Amino acid sequence: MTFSARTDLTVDVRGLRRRYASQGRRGGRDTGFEAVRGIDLQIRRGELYALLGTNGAGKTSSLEVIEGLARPSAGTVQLLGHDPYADRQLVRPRIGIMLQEAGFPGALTVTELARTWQRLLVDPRPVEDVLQQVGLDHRRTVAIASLSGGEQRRLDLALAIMGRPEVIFLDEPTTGLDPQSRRTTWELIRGLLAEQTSVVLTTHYLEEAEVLADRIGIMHEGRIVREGTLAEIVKSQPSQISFSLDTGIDETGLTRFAGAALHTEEHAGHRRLRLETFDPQRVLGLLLSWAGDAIRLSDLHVVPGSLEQAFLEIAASTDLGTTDSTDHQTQPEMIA
Amino acid sequence: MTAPNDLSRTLTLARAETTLLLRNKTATSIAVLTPPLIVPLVSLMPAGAGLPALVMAMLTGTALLFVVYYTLVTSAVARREEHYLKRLYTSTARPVTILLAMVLPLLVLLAVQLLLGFAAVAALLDYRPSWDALLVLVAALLGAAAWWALALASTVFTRTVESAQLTTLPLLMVALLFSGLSLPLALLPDPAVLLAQLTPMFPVVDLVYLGVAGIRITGDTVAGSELLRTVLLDAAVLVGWTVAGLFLVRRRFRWEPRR
Repeated sequence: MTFSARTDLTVDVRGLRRRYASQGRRGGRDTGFEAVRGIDLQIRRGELYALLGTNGAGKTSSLEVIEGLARPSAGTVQLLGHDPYADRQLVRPRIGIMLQEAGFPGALTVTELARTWQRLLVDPRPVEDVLQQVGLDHRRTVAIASLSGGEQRRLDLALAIMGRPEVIFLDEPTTGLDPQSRRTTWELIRGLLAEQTSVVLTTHYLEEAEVLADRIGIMHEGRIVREGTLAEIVKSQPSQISFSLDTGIDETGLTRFAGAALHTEEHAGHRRLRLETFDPQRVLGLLLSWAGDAIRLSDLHVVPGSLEQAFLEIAASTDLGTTDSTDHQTQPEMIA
Repeated sequence: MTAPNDLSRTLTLARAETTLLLRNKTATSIAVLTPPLIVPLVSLMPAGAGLPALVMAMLTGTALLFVVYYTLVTSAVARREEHYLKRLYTSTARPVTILLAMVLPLLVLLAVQLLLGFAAVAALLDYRPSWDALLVLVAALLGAAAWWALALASTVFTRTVESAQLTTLPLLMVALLFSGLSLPLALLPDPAVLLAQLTPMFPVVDLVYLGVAGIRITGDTVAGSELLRTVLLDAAVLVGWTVAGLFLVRRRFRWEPRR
């Protein structure tokens, strides 16, 4: 079976906005807070899209609308060709959702909850297989309240994959996991991708996005301000060449390196210099010949442009006239 | 394994809910013990020939208040606060399925208590039920619907399980004071009696009295078309509370804790 470019799209979001009504104020001017300010998002089968951003950037607010948990204030969402809010009965059996907050009744055991979840699904995988896949088979009879944070996260993942989803939403799936469990989770996600599942991932671990993502979107203040493959995003970031110089050495010669910006930091009598350039090979050559045998470049580092750099640059930029979202009383539109 | 439908999903979730309720000793004790403990107390009161009706009305009323209403408010808020409701909201189950499944175990308990109550009344008070006793079934069904909707509506104003003790008080008081259960309605002035008939427990008690004793809780004797009119009016009040409760639920029900 061949897919045309159109049917290959599992997620198609256009101009999505989400506004929360403010609480308390009735009448008069609308003082609500717009958490999502017009995003477009297209994801194909078998693709992993990582949605990054600082806390309050609008990632979870966007995901909830795309998942069909809430209605958009404006714009359209097509999930597997349907409106995920209006056609939830058609869409839900084909997707998996892992929320940021797991939401477990602590008094049930792992197996009790897993079996309950399984009976709700149309074409579930065996409970034993799924628990084994996330490494929880030895904890089957334990009350969920007794699981560690990392184990609960893995149980959450197990439930999300149990229904053989075509699209899976993973909101910070590896938060609280030890490095080994994190790698197990990555393997599991790669397995999903190999089965042509679309994966929408949010994470605060940029390494995770670097390792797994086909495409990355960085959200800031309700918008996707940068989007592309890892290579495309990193390409916008200069490489950094940094080193320490003894005091007394004149560095003015370094400013002549074309295309490289020079930054100097003095700290406790210690001088550290940093050159930013998109042509690290040429600038490094110039630097080394400038230093020759006479000048010692101690602690010399060459770091290519990174996702973290791009992320921090975007996070530091502020859009004037926006309100702070962190202490805002919000009222999500989730109704029966 | 066949594909699940709305009914099987309701039963699946109700089963998990039952397990959760049984593991919460406080909730279980309140739900299981309150109605049967209250009934013997009532039986000591002088009620003359109306004792079977008084016992059944008391049992139906307290079961609706403490088994259905109070227990559902606390359990729904508890499930919401541990984000379990939101998890279920992400599932393949419809929202209404989730909300019905939460009350289903409580309805089973209600039915068991009413059946045991009937058996006890028949054995101890020499009561012989007639076909009119089906009105008790009407009272229980419509009452359960109304108090289910009111419980879900009450969760809108209840932040934590602890605060449920406070937020459930208004409806509990209204139910106890204006249904004739604790305060004889004859003590109220006429306009107040008229208003009392519109409160959500009065029709339940009224229907049980009509079903068991053949008289209204107000003491009036009704027959023929007057009886039919009374029954329909009581039923309409309960349906009205159900609709009003669900209207609020549809607009304001929260599937996750306030941030």
